[in-house]
Amino acid sequence: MTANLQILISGISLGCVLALLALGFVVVAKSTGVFNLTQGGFVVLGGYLSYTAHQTWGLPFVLAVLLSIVLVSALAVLLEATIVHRIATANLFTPILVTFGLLIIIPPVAAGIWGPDQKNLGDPWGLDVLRVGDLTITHRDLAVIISTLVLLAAFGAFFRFSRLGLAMQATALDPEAALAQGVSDRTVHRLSWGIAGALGAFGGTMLATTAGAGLGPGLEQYALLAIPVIILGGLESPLGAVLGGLFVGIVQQFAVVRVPESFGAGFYEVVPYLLMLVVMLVRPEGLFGTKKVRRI
Amino acid sequence: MATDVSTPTGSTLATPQRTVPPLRLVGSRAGRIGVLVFIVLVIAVPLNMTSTYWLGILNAAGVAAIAAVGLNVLTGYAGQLSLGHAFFVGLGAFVAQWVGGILDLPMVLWLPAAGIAAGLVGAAVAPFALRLRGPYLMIVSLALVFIGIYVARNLRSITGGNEGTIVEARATLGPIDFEELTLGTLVFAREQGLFILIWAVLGLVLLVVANVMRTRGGRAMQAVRDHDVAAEVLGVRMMRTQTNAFVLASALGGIAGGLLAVNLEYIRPDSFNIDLSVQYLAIIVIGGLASLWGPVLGAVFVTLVPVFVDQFATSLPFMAQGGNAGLTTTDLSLILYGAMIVVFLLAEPKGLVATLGRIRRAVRPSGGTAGRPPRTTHREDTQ
Repeated sequence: MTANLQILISGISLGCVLALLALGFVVVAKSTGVFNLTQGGFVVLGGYLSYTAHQTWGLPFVLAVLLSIVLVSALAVLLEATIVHRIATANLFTPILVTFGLLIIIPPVAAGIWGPDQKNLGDPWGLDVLRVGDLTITHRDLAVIISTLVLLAAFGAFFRFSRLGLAMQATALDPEAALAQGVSDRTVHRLSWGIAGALGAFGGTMLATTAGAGLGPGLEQYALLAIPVIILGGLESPLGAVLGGLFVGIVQQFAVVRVPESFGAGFYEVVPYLLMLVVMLVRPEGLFGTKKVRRI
Repeated sequence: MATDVSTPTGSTLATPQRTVPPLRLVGSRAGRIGVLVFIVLVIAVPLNMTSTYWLGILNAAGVAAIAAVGLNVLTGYAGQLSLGHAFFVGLGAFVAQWVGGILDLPMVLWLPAAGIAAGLVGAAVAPFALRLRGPYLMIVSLALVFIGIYVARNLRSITGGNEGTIVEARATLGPIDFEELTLGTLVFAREQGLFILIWAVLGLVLLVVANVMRTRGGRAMQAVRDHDVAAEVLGVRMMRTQTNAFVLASALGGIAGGLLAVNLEYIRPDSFNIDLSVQYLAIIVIGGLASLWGPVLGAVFVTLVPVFVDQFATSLPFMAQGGNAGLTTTDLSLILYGAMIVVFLLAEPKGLVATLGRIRRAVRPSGGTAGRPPRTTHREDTQ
């Protein structure tokens, strides 16, 4: 019982990170219609920039993460403004392929700058744990869960109450009507990329604090794990991204511990994809997605 | 070169109002000359090239081109983005090793087996993958690659697990062994024989794809790509058309995989990862989507990128040298692939094929129609 609860908590923590990563995809897909694969690159850059700001420049951890978020956000806005915006509405292919091209540039650049070794982010939690009865919860898990909740609340409030957030929702719903109401699609697109960059940077930093995994080449592979999450939740549903992330995180964590050896090496790595395939069979539009009505 | 396999021209003559050219494997005299030139080149190039290094590179490009022609059927002609092509190439490679190496059967069996196995798996996966549109197919195909690597790692008896396996399948056709080609007293290098094999298969694949795209099934693929609902209204069965494209693409990927295994002599599950899929996607985008020669041009171009990076690596300041931090050759190649995908999509969406066409027009402003033998078009029109 305690053991299961223990697994559940690490699962929730992993799920929170996945939810953050998935939200970055959803924000851009919802308001610009682009399936932005560059998100994986933002994750990598976020982790490494936090490292540089904290370990090399000696900033306090929180400030370092904030700086990394700002920098990655700025880069995301820059990419949108210079490259992606003019092909955002071209057709289905071009935006996916272009963001894909940008994605495969970033990890080797990061490997070139920061080298191929594992880095220690030097997060303030270290290996500290909180004991509740028989349960041990690492401070890192707690920090991830709490900061994700805070971020999600801020996220919700922004979309619900702020003028820009409402403008973004309007653009997502009907771009032309929003344009007619004086909402600038340029601002909305850039803002959504900025938000995606921020989420990616934060998610990447959190990924990099995982005990054992750490910051090194291949971080973008973890970002790809957010992709089955989006399918589970539905490409355009923020709530779906969060719940899908939690679901995948918990199931994967149980698979890590509970699946017998006979399933072969690395079974837990394909668990998110198997879950995704099952969901696609039953409900192709995702658990929380909406079925698209298409016009000729 | 008697390559007619279609209905005799008499049946087309019976319906004079038909404007469709008669169905032949090679449509025009220019095309037949082209086939002859290709055959001569496939034999002449390896015999006159003494550098096994460059022949090896051309062999790698030829294998990549076969796989890319397959992906081009799916992505270029049928309009479905896939990141899973490496899975089918890997499947073909391991099936080739199983049939040709472990079961010790000849190439006439293992090469088709690689294609058929990949095609069958493609047919089994297609109904799942094709339920969805847009980015979803790409995501499912991504799952294929991960699941494929997991399965391959755990099928130790065939794939050798993580460490991979030496390829024992032999490239022999009856008495001809392409890996130890001899002609009388002449003994050829392994690369020379494999060049003939690989580029001959590539030629056949191009001929098949060019012809499939002229049939009803092939035109249906392009109609679905351009507007699926409109195509369906016109009587194209979408599901079947897309499945056809998926199966053909997978089978070609499998054949490429079989040749890849023989060419490399050593394969391991991790080689068939997302990076390989990326390479194929880069090839068709850079070469030119939905064009016959685009994948071939793209394959040669993309295969040359790491070669040139290697050549200039020592003179670039930001490269890793000795123990220094810096870019590795693989890293720089990846960066160049990515940058080229972006640049080509923004500046030249139709790829290198369009660039070549532009150069030809600039050199010979009246080119195009003047260069073609007038008789071929004339004859089609009068029927």
